[in-house]
Amino acid sequence: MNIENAKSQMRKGMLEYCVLLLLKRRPSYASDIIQQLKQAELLVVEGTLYPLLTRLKNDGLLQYQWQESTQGPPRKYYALSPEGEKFLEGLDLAWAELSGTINYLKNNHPNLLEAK
Amino acid sequence: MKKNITINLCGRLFQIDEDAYELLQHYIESLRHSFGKSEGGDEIVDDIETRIAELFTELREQGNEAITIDHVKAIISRIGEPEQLTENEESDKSDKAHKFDSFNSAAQGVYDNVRKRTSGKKLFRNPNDKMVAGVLSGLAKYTDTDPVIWRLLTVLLSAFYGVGIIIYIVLAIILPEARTPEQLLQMEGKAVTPQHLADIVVDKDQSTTQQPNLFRSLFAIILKILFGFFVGIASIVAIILFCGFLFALVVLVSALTFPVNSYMPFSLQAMGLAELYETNPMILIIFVFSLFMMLLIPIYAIVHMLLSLSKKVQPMGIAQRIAWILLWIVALCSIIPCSISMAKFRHEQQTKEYFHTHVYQDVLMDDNDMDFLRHGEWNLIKAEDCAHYTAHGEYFDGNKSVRYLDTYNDECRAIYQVERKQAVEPGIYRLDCIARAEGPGSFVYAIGDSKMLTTIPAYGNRGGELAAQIKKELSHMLASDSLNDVGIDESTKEVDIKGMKFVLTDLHQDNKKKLKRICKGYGWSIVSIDNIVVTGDSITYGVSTDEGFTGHPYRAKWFSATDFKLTRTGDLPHIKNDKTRHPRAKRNKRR
Repeated sequence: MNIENAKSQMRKGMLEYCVLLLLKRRPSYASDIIQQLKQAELLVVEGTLYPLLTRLKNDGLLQYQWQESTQGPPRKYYALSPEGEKFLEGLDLAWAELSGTINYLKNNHPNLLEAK
Repeated sequence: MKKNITINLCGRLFQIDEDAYELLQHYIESLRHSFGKSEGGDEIVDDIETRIAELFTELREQGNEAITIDHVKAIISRIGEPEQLTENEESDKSDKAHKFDSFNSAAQGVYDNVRKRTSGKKLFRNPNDKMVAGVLSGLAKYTDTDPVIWRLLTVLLSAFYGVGIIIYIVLAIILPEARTPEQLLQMEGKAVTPQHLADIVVDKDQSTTQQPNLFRSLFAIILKILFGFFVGIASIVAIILFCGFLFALVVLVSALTFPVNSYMPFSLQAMGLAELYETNPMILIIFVFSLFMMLLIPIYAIVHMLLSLSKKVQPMGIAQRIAWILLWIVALCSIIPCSISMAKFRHEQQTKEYFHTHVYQDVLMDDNDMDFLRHGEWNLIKAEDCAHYTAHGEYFDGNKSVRYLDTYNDECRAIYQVERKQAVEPGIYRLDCIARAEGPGSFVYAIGDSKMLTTIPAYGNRGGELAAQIKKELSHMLASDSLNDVGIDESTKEVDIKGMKFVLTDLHQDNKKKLKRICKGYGWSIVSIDNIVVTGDSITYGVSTDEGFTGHPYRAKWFSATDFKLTRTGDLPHIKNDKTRHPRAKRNKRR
């Protein structure tokens, strides 16, 4: 497994969490999210986002509103639903755990881990 | 310069190049195809369409009057190929499957598998790397191997009765050539994505120009000639088949229009099928239908092929080809039993006709037997298990063409009795004939006032009394070297043996051998019945092997008899007149 592959796997795992985080900050439409994710280098092809958004919406974690746009077609503004916020809290906890573990693994000597 | 069209995308109008439009359309179609059955698929594609509209708007704001193919390509690579998107989707799902119980991942898995399989490689003839028709190169693409291996294999296989060549031809007929960019991609096993399509379109000019070398160009010339031959032969076959079809049509129409029982050409009667049509018309209907299919399918296939070679129509797909071939085979399978039963029927008809013309007194026999019996006015009394009723070839004087009464049965079971009636004045008669037999039980009989029987001596087909007697008669001739020495200056000699005169013909010096042959005799003997008393007006005489009639079992494979001769030997002694009734009654009993 090469590094690119591993990275993309990691990104994929993270993508959902990141989208939820972004939407918690403020409701956004797809192109907004894409721009931010691209800046964070989390998105390789834009198309990936759409199935994800649709699925999260269908699972009841997201809700959206149509808003007219001056530049282009009307936009779907996505925001977290109450369920989505709860779900995100759960993910926050999981992430804290995960990053704690990873930091621990990074900062401590492997032998200690074994001893533990 | 490119043709430019206006499209409406999410309620906005955009100017777009035609090729760019086609690529875009293909892209969106393939997205719909790959998302089509997943949950909210249409929504996803609609969202992506919205995104594209946004990006187009951006492009326009940057001062692009029209969207070009490069723009569309850039957008596609930005949004991603349908495959990339669904792959991510899949792994997303499997990652989260245990978290979200909301969808059935198993069903999705099955669907994805099916889609993967169907979107896999397809077998085509490869036009870009071909020696003859591109079959092997296509196989190589399909199996991901080197075409050289396949070519070598084919050459090797062709050494065995040309098996390789035959397989090649069959495959060349069944497999279509990859012509469109889509088919080229399917052949390569690449997904039909807009990006790949665009690559193919761009690369097309380069890929078709092959490296020229002497062998290739020579081979190409030979191939062109062979191809011309192939086209010519295919056209001729099509024309011949078409003529066959027209002929069959003419036959069919005339069979349907002329009355069944008329003797017009091609009426059912003339073809000997009238009765079949009345008893079992289904066989004829199936036959005609199958015949037309068998003629029309190849005609259609050849015409279609010629048209597709001149690029007027799309070549048939594999499924269509196999379907036609199967249909043809079905027609073949149904025409064979029909033809067999028709042939059987015609054979039966002919046999019936033969029976009609070859029955003598209710017994079927060949022309020669019939002519002989009819000419000799012989009446068949019994005829069971007889291989034949007359024969020729072993007449005592060696004349091969003389015919005589004869029968044969390998198991000695022939029951044969023939007789004829001869009108005579009352008196005493003697019957002479010559006969031979292989075993005991065959009799010569004569019925005047009473039934009289004499057994035929069984000498087989060698020697016989007749030969011995002739030999004795001619002993002086046989002993001398020259026939002239013994006073024969004519070529015929009459020999009188026991009152029977035998005329020996063609006797001269060179034919002394013949005399010797005559004296071999083929087992013939003179059989006589003396003192036949006839008070009535006729004598009936003949031969019989029927135990019921002769009172003796017949134990011979064959017997022969001929040269019957009735001689009056004396007048009736005038004693009584009341005897007249008695023998007649007896004879009637026998009948």
